[in-house]
Amino acid sequence: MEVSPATARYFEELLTGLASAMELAAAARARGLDPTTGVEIPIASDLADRVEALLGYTGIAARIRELEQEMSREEAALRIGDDFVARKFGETTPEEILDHAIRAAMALLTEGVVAAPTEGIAKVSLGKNDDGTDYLKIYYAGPIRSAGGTAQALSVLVGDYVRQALGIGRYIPRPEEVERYIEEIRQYNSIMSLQYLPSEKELRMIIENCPVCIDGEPTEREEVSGYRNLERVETNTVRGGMALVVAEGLALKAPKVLKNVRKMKMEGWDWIEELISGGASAKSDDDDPGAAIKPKDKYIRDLIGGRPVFSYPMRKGGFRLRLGRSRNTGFAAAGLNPATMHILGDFLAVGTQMKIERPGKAAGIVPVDSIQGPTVKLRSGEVLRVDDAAEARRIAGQVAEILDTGEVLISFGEFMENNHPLMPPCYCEEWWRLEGGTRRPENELEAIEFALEGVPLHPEYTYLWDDVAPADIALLADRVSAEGRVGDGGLAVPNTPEVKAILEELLVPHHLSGDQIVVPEYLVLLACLGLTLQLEKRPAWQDAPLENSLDLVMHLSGFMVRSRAGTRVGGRMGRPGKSKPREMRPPPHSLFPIGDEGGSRRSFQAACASKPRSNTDGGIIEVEVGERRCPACGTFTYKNLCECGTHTVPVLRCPKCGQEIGKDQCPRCNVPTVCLQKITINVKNEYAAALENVGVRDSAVTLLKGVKGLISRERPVEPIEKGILRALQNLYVFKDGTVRYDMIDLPLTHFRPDEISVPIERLRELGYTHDIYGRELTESSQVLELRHQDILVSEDCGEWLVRVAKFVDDLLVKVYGLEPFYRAEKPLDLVGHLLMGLAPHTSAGVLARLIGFSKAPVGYGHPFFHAAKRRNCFAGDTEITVSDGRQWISMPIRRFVVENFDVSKPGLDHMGTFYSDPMQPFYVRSIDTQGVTSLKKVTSVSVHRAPAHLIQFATRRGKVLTVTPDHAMLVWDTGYLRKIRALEVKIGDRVPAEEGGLVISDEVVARETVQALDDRVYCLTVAENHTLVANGIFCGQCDGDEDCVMLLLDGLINFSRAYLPETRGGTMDAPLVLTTRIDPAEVDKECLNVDVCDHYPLEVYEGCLAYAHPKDLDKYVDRVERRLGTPAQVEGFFFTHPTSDISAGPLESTYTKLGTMLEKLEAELDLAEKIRAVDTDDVAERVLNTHFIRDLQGNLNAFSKQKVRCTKCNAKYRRMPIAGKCTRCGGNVIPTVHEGSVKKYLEMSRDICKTYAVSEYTKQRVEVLCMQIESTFGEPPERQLGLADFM
Amino acid sequence: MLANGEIVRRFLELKHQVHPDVVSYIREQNDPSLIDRIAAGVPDDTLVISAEHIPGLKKVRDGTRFLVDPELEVILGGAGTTGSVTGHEDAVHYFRDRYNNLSSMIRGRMTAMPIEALAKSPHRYRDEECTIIGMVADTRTTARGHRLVELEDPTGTIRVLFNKGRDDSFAEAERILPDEVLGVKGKLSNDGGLLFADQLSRPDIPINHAPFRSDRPGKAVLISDVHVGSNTFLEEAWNRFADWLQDSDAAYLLIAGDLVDGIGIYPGQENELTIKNIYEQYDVFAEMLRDLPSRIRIVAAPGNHDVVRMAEPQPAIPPEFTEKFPENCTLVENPCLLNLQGVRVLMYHGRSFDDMIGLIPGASYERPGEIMDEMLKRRLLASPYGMRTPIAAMKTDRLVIDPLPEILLTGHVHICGVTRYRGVLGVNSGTWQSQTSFQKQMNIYPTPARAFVVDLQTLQPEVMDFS
Repeated sequence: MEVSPATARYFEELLTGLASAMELAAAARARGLDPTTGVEIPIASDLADRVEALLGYTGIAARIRELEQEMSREEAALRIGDDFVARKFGETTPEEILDHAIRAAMALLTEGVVAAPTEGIAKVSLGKNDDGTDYLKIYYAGPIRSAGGTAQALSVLVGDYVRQALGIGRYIPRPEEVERYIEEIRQYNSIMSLQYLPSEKELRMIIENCPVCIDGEPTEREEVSGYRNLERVETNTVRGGMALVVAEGLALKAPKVLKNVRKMKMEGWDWIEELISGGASAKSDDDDPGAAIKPKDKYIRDLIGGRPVFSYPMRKGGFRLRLGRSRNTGFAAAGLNPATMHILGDFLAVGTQMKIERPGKAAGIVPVDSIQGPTVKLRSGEVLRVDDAAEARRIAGQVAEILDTGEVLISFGEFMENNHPLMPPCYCEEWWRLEGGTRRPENELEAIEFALEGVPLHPEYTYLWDDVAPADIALLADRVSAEGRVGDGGLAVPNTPEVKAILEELLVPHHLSGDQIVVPEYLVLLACLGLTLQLEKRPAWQDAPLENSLDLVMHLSGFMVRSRAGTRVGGRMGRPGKSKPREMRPPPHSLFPIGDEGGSRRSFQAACASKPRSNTDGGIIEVEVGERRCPACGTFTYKNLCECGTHTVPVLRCPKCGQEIGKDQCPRCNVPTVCLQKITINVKNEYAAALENVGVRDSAVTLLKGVKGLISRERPVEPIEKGILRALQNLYVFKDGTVRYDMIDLPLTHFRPDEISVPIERLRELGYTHDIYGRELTESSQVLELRHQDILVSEDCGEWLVRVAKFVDDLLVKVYGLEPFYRAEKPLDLVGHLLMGLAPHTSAGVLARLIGFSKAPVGYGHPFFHAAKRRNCFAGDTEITVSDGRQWISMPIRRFVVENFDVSKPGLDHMGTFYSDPMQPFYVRSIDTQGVTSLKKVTSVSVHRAPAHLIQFATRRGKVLTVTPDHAMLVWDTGYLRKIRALEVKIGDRVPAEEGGLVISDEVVARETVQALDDRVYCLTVAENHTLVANGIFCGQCDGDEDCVMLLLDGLINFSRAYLPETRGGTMDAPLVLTTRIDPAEVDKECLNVDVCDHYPLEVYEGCLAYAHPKDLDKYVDRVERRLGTPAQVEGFFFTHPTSDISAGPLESTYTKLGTMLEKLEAELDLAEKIRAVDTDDVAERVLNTHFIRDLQGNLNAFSKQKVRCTKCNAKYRRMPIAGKCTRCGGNVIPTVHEGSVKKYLEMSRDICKTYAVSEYTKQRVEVLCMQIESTFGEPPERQLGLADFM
Repeated sequence: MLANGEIVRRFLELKHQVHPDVVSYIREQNDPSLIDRIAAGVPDDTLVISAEHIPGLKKVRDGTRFLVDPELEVILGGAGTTGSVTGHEDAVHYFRDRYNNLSSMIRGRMTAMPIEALAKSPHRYRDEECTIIGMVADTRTTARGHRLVELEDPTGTIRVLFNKGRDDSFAEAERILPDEVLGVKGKLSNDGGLLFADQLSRPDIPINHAPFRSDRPGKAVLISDVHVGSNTFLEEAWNRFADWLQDSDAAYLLIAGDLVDGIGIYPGQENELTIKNIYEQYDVFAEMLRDLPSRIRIVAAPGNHDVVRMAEPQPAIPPEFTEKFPENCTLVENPCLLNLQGVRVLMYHGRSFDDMIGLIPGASYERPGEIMDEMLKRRLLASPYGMRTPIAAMKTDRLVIDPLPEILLTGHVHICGVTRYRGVLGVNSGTWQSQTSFQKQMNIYPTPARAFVVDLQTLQPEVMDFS
């Protein structure tokens, strides 16, 4: 990577900081208090390293670097297969070669940060054709989604390439198998909504011709109904990974496949050409480029109660497109004037996501005060535009109607990224200047003067003529001419509804004075209306063209007038932002098991006091922990450090014969070994000893929370001391031993010292010596260019980091006996220190430097930094889809829908499919998605190999698989979960899991492979929201922009793979590797579409008017992509629109401030009433249909199918045990779905039906539901009469 | 303990073939001497020894039935008899009720001990044959392919292993459904944690059951799944059916649910409705009933498309929708037990088909009769709780099949099927709706526009096709 000297220095500094932290961490780990004695986060500086670290195939990094010199990455991904075939990396069996080659290619194609290569491919195996030949089967799992269509499709190609090299036959499908694919893919589409559902003909063509058998792990709960129990298809359950690869991969990305087929001269893929020419392939149903832009209501198809719609698709009064990029937009963030954010009820705070009509699907909202704000009508009848946030706050209470929601700033790069044709932006100053404007006119006269010179009328003086019909313009002219008069205050016209309405539509500022409408600035208006100053109609009226409003106005005035309406963009509120420490539930301070004795709070204090029998000492508890042995004195213990001071090693035993076996599999019993012992410990003594070790008085810690049990493979125990020190700082540990803070990501390329609360002197020390114009940094208002691994965190996060720093210092001093490192007292002290950023569902952390704090609760970072963590690698074409919770609704069925979805239901979004809204925890039960909690993510899989590493996955469902170096296990799980297998081993072991009342089988196969320490774990997880949340994901702008940061030293010292749960998905979200240097060429391609110019040339605007495709205008816009490979790729960026404060506007969304759904809904509907571009009745109906009715129906249904759980041990039962109590502990068993949760939206729904014009059909659905609910629970009891009723 | 093969072989030696019912009866009795006794009493020309040849086991027919109404009586499930869920304790009563009812059917044939006894003193029962009766809490296949079932009774739970090597009991073990009640004979493992099953019994229909037949002439017409309001409702076929009824001698018309297509039953249903107003759907249906001869007694139950709650038992369709229904129509709940001239008809819409078809190996929508057999063997209309069939867990379990009907009428799957199991006639009557887009997607081909006519004196069904 070629860099300028300044950037080189910057990297140097980062690496120096990292090196010193590593050294300290290594010293601490060497003490032996942790599960292993070394730092467990390997450092990777480039893609090749990441791939090697992720997959663990030794030597592959060097080879990748060689190949990348010569060919494109896609070719390299195929070509690397030759090396595997030649067995250069130690593979032995054909399956293994195939497996490794496919994974390596996938890792390469996905930049080595996504889980797809590890968890997205469950396994690879060989099947037998009817003619006796072998064929290749690739089992895709849910996380394959994270790879994006191109990588998915190419993985099939890689499989075929290697298969041919190995002389394995092609797949010859049986007719019933083809039918099965067709049925199953359709069914998957109905569950999760594919981006593109191929036609039956296309599917047939793909399946019959594809030389590789695309198989998959079951990912859904649903089973196919026809073509079941096929001999060669292992499951009747729907295989989501398979469906994705066939539909979104091969079908949608056929052209990409063809390109590579040609390049590599592969045989047997001729059909691809036919597929492309034959069907409606490779085009999603989005707009065809060139075709007229039509309103698209996709973004409001899945309305959620409480999240308002701001503007209907392309409706008058909606957001007007302004083309440009501010220093905090681009990369899936869009700018609004802070006044707009206030006027829209404060629902949009900094960082709140807005679902938009186009060009993408969603955008993070940031304040940009150099664009226009909304135009509102006050109660007094006055119409004015508000550009100032303070003014907006002041008048917010007086707003009667929001006539126009203002401008939205979207960059050219977004159109590029989303492959969306350009469209006319509203006429604006910068465009005007390109057309000959020189300086902003000072007043109306000057504006008219300029216009008469042939320059178009200045945008500031241009009204929204094209919104008004020519006949209305004529009417207005007549009225003004007949009844108006010009006075001191301006032009006065009698207040009649027609005139007022037209003026409002034109957005002409005016106010009322008595029964007169007064327009203070009227000269331009008169000119455009074709009136003289004496209010007489000009002669131009005689031959006025009455077809087109703009033409009419131009004819009347003689000016060139452009459209200030431009293109309207619809929008509604998406997920609110989030900024808070990561907490598990319940949140522990320490990964120390205390069993049931800790009570529901898992409290050490309670465990210390618990007495198994009344006359015994308290604090004796029985726990399951890992068994370890001291290599020096041979003592068996559970601690990481033997009393003799030696680090202990885990002992693996066969659970059947009890023999100690140093491997993952007992050779005799053929079962996986475990590291487990059930022992009695005196937790009271242990706790007291720990307190003494760190010199803390018992009273200083009021509550120390541990965990109930350990679910990792080796079950290592954290020293209690760590928990005590965390408790002192009020920090909660995450499952991998680190503490983290979650924040939504926003892009930022430049900042001002005064908005990040850091003194200039400190910034100069950090290398920020000059502003973007090359001037010495002296003023705190100068604009500086952000270094691409520097980040801003929220102020709250800053405070939190100080606590973490104190914890780490305490740890170093009191536990490890080293010198403190941070010595931080206030957030400012941490500026310049290093952090680690990690995106959800990824396994690679990114090194970052803290340089300041933002008032808004968001994490601002360079687009490259965010892109480096992104999981969707190919920007343009890749999508990460997250599903929304909809499914949930359908799953347990309705719930999912309701919940996750909050909104929509399947079918809607494609990409996203399901929405979950994080904010609605109630639905969480289903899984993830929704709520923040969400359970359901499909996460991904990882394959790791490393000596002595454990990989653990946790499944949501509570299954755990661990893989150690010697083990190779696959765990896979998909959307909903399910199988675990070991790769190389034969498949076949299944562990059925019970879920949701169904028995789902998990399969586990563990195997070891070849080289000594190869392990892989595959996991699919359904994780939290993310996956499901997919919406955001589309287009690479994933919703999942919520990232977490951790203090570097905390990660280096406290992280251990050994803590990670054995279940699938366990490695997700864990920093398995640390990227130290971001190379823009190796991160998510989306960031290449960030434009970095300071203005767009006129050609761009002209292209917009012609609805040109952004690719055709590529050469006019300076984007990162055009700078790749040069030092300029990371510096010298500019922006087109300045903004004065990146934290302006509301800092917290009304949505999160309001407590109940009722309040939110009221606020939403109130706002809808006010906005001209929103149809309130339609909003009400949509909310009913996509949220409330689904919720009611889902919950009612769930009530009649519900599980029960024990209040004491939390055991879950598919139904009430006959005994009426918990059969395990005898505790009380209660239902999981309550009457209250079924009815929660009932009243609100009925009220909506009464108040709004909702269709009869919808009304009846609510009525019917209401009856059904009554029939289930009985009539509601008479309201209790209170005393007041009698008085 | 005799194995099935052994019993069959012994009979073959005696030159007889034997009906599986007899084999299982002998196994249950565990009395090898029965074989000789049975063989001794069989007439020489008998090809297959069936249940009636078992000495002392004569078909028992209920000869008299006391009828409040000699024509039509609703024994269980009359409108308004189901209530609402009063609290979560109801669920305890619900499953206990199911257990008590079903276990007492098995208890007549085998003496069982409480599960707690096994769990508490395993050494006492080691190597001894034990018998337990429990409700299935969980069932799964082990890694080696055996079937592992967790059984519970009010005293405790135990895991029961069905060895895949024992073909006789294993085939049945694969068909074990969650929440059915089983009797299991077997041996306890050494540590007492597992029972190795030898033999499995279900409540079943007594081997000597003989159905009641009406002593007077009378015919009942059985239909279901009319789906009025759907754009796939076959109006012309219905009209032909109505015309035919005018001239027929049928006295009863039973409709087992899904009278109308309903609203909001599945996403996007709005686009497939010709009548989007739920009230109008019932009005049109009422009109259709009014056009039928008024001498026919009509009984209509709800299904999952109807306006009542989904959870079973479903209440009868409420009066606000049925104002226009003719006088001769009786509204009942789902399920309900009717008495037509003494012949009992159990009418159940059949939501549980969805669950059972998924769970029972080899089951298919095309053969609903097989599923009805399975219902009768388990004496349960809907076995698994918590799957697709919503169940309102109330104090009693109305889904238990008790008393035994002569006819079991179901619908829901839209495919005709007839079965006869130990004397009970099972009829699934198809639909009046052509293939829907959903069914097309699911690859289901319905058999619409058919009605079954059952002669109450002979219990012989006849199918009439109006398509």
